[in-house]
Parts: sequence; C-alpha cells; structure tokens
Amino acid sequence: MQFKAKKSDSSVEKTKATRDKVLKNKQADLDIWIDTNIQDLDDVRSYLKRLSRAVKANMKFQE
Amino acid sequence: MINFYLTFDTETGQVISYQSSIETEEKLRDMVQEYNPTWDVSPVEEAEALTAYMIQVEGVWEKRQKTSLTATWDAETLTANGTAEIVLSTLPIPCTVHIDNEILVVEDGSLEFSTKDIGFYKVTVNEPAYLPKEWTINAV
Repeated sequence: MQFKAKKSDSSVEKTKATRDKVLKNKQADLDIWIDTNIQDLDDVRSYLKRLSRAVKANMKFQE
Repeated sequence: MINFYLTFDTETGQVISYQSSIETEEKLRDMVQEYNPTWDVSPVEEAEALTAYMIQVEGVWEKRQKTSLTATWDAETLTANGTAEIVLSTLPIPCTVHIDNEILVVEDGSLEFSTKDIGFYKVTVNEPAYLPKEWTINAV
C-alpha cells in the first residue's frame, strides 16, 4: 500500500526552523556567516525570512 | 485466594484491562457484564496478563500470548521530495497502522511511505496478537 504522508504548513515551517543549519550555529559563528554571506538586499530578504520563520516557530500569536 | 483476570470485549477481542480479584470468575463476570454486557473475563497468570490477548476460535474464546512484530523498515530516514519511498514490510495481513493522527488499514503486508513535508512521523502498530511497536520516521 502506498501512503503519502502530510504535515501542516505550520509544522513544516517549525521543523525547517529547528533544522536551520545556519541559525543553529553559535552566535560567534553566525556573526561570521552574516558578515561573509549578507552582501545585498536579496541576501537580507532571504535572511529576514529565515529569522522570521524561527521567530514564528516560537511564538503563539494572539488575535 | 487472589486470582488475576483479563477483562475483554467480546465484540472486538480487545483486552480492556487486567485485575486481581478475590471474587470467583462467575461473580466477577456478573459484575463486569453488569457494567458492560459485551465484556467478559478470563483467568490469567499475573506474569502473562500484560501480554495476553483473546481470540475466538470456532466460537470459543482462547487466551494467547502476544508475539513480537517482525515488520521492519528498509530505512527510517527519507528525503522529503514526494517520490523517495521507504518500505515497512512483513506486516501482519491485514494490519492497522497509525501514522501521526491517520489510521491506515494495510491489506497487502507492505506500506510504501513517501512525503513532501519534512519532519518526524510517529508510526505505530498495535495489533491484538502482537506486542505494540513504534518507529519514528525522519523526513529530511
């Protein structure tokens, strides 16, 4: 029997956040990574998305 | 004298509980069936109570011991790309498999698992004749 498993979007995003290879670095290493890899506005956008995913994974927003 | 008894559901064969009792089997049966008419009791050795199950053979309830499930995955990690598959094989036929909150009845003894969504998936099998088994599948 074939089965295609699914997770909710929020679950997938939370897992992505907890498995983020960059954000899981020590802060000193993360600082170096940012200095090396954030060069232009696209890099900033990409990093902001990464950060917001991690923030949302740890937040319970209220109405 | 204290005896141990299984309480089981005669509609499903599922063992509900086991308990010690100073009552006779007949008295305990009356008490249990007063609470739920489809339940019955069966004496059991204390050491075997946790791993016992009931099966009806030619109209008679028999008590047996659960055995280990031999089913295995060919891998417990897979790429979450929607096409990569891992296989849980040699399941009992038929077999109810729980994957997170979903319940599947696998009729052919084999479950081919794939997903597009990363994360951990809890897979459990809790068939009456087998000891419960649980795996954690990691989709990366």
